[in-house]
Amino acid sequence: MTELKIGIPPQRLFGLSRRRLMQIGVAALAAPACAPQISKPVAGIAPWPTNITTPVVTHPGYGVFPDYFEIGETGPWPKILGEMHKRQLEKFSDLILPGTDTAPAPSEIDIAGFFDDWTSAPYPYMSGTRQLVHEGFAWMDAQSQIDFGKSWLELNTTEATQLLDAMKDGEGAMAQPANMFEHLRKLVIGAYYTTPEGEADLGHVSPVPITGDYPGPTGEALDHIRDLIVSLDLDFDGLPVGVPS
Amino acid sequence: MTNVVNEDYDVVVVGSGGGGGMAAYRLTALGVKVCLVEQGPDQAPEDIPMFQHESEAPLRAIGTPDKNWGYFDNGICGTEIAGQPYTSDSSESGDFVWYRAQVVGGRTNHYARHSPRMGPYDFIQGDLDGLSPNWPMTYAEMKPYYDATEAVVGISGVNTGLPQHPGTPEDILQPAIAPRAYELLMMASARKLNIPSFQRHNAILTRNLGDRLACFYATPCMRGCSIGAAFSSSTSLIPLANKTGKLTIVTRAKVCTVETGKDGRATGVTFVDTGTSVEGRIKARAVVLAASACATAQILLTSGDDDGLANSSGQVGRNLTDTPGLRVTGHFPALEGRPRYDEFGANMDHIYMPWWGYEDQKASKMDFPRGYHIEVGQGMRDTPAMYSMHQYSDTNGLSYGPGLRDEIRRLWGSFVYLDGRGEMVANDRSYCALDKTMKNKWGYPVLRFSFEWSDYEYNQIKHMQKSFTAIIERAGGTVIGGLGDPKDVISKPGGMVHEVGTTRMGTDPDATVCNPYGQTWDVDNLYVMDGGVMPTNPHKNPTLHIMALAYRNSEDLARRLQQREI
Repeated sequence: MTELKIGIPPQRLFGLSRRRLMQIGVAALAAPACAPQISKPVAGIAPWPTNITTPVVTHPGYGVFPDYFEIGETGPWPKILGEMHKRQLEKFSDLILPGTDTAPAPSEIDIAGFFDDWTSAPYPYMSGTRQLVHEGFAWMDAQSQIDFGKSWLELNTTEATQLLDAMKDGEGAMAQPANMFEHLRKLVIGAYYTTPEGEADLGHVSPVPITGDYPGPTGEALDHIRDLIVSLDLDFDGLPVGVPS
Repeated sequence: MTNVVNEDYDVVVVGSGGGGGMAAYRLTALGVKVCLVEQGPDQAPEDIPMFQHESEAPLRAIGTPDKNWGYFDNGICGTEIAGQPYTSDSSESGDFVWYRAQVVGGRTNHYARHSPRMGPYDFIQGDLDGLSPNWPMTYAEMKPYYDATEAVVGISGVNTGLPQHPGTPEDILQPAIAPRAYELLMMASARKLNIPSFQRHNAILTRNLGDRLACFYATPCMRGCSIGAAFSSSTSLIPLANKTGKLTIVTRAKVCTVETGKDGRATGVTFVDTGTSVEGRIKARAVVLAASACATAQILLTSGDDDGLANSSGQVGRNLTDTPGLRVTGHFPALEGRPRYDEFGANMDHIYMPWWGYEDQKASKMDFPRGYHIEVGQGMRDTPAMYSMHQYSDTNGLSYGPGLRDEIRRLWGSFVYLDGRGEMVANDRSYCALDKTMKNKWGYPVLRFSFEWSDYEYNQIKHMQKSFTAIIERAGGTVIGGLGDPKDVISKPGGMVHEVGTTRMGTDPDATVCNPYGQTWDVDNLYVMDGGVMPTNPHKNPTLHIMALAYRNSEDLARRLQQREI
């Protein structure tokens, strides 16, 4: 059996290095309760909030043997993400992957619904996200006030981009905002591309049932790989191309 | 309160995976009345969510404490199951992780369907390097059972013609599946480096077989396959056994012990109903344990006296091995933005690179004694997944904004990984035993694992890194992950879910638990038919060998029952 997704720990899940984990203390994300954080005051940087109450979820999960056809696309737990957080997350998400003429923005494919399901789920990792959303957007509002005199939702695109730029590579007093940016960015990307709309933007060709043999690469794809193989001075002849005879 | 299920079974088989399913199939075909006991639930083929998209699942189907391997993982499965803990001694190699698959069909619902046969050398490693015992039979003796097993399992692929990689008779072997574009590139690169590469043997039908249908190439095998194209005991062996009218299946029953009579013979098993926690008993003339290597060891150690049952050798739980694994990922700029097409195929790998260093190892030219094979994956094969998309977005730092879509689209399909799957040499530091300080939710002691890789495995990993790098670079790629200290990149102990060896078979009752037919030396009518009996753990994935042994050993058991030896 090939190893696939054995008890995916958050760090493996989102590809964070051990060093990075140590740096940002993301292991604390798994803790459902809000541990007080002590931030040294730095001029111009809002302290990471320590007085935010994150809702505690006690509803059970979907269980070890769920009824796949009963549960549907969101978990059976009550959805508790507030409207303000939904709007804040939509704004954040649309800045990560802005919509184009051919691809919808995350807000247009219900990224808020994804986050509502995710942050309401009764599992440790999702509880960490819930805590991060509550603390993080409080911090972003506070920092927006310092930088621009208004809330995160009131920032225009230029201002919002300035704030995200400051967050994404942050260290020291900005380490926790950096953690928030990295964590939510990965969730947005993962959630977006696991939708039909995201797949379409990627150009991913979803499989459809085939009668008969799997044909392998199309003519165009085969030409491409043949040209590449030949250009590398490798032998194309003798490779098992196409359906069996 | 005790439930007695029945008292007139010929055989009670514990576990419904490859070993237990094959035992049920073969025994019932030979007229034996079987009670098959499975800890997990049944899952009807029509209840398998084959077609549901990740966006149609909670949390985009990502793994949780309820479903460790993801929402759609079939059955009650995972390395952490509530109420069923285990412990692990600390070691340099890390904690052992124990995947359990509790559903009718067991692990055959989940395995990669890669089905290479063992070769002649794999049976005589004791003669070749002296580091482990020979198997108590030769390849020639096992060949008829491989043939028979493959005929019922259904194998597609091509025969390599290589001496240590025996083929399948042409009248059994089904046509291979066409390689994907990136697989052709990897084949060409490997072959240029004199590393063999072929379309591999998969337990995936490309032609109808009995009531089972050929693959339609559109759904993930790991979720289960309601048409039976991807082999699983639950859709293949057990339905055949059911047709005989000789099979009874008891589900949601956790077997705890094997009971014995005054004469020392097994009289049946005790179990606990996992739903009600009511205990019960099933009686039979013979008992077959096929609960998976470590679960079977747990049952034996929990049975009998303080040392367990069938353990006069002291070897129950010892000789635990897993497959050392390594993933090295390459980025191939020439694959960026390549033509899109349906690369899903049969979901599993279509090709592989079989081990090529047998003669060098035989001549002591390598610093590790056992081989490995290479598996090939990624490209545009898998449907975009929540846990994997980040890798296409992080090559330019934590970028965001208008350019990020283009970057992800450009990189999609340009990563290919090579997975090494090696053979571990059993060592004294790797075993499982009862941890009597902790009990499961039914009050029985849990397993404690001790496990360490040795320099044999670390040196093997170094060799993998070197050969994988060569293949990737010769194909124009750059390695982006999987190098570094072998101790940091080798798979977790247990991570490959290939644990075997805990109830070894052999010819010496003082050194092994089972005789060459899986019959325990100490208890005449008690058999083991899972991977526990394997004296070594060749890198050739164990499921096919487990089934071939179960096929063979069930015939021995049936003969003994019919001749009233039992």
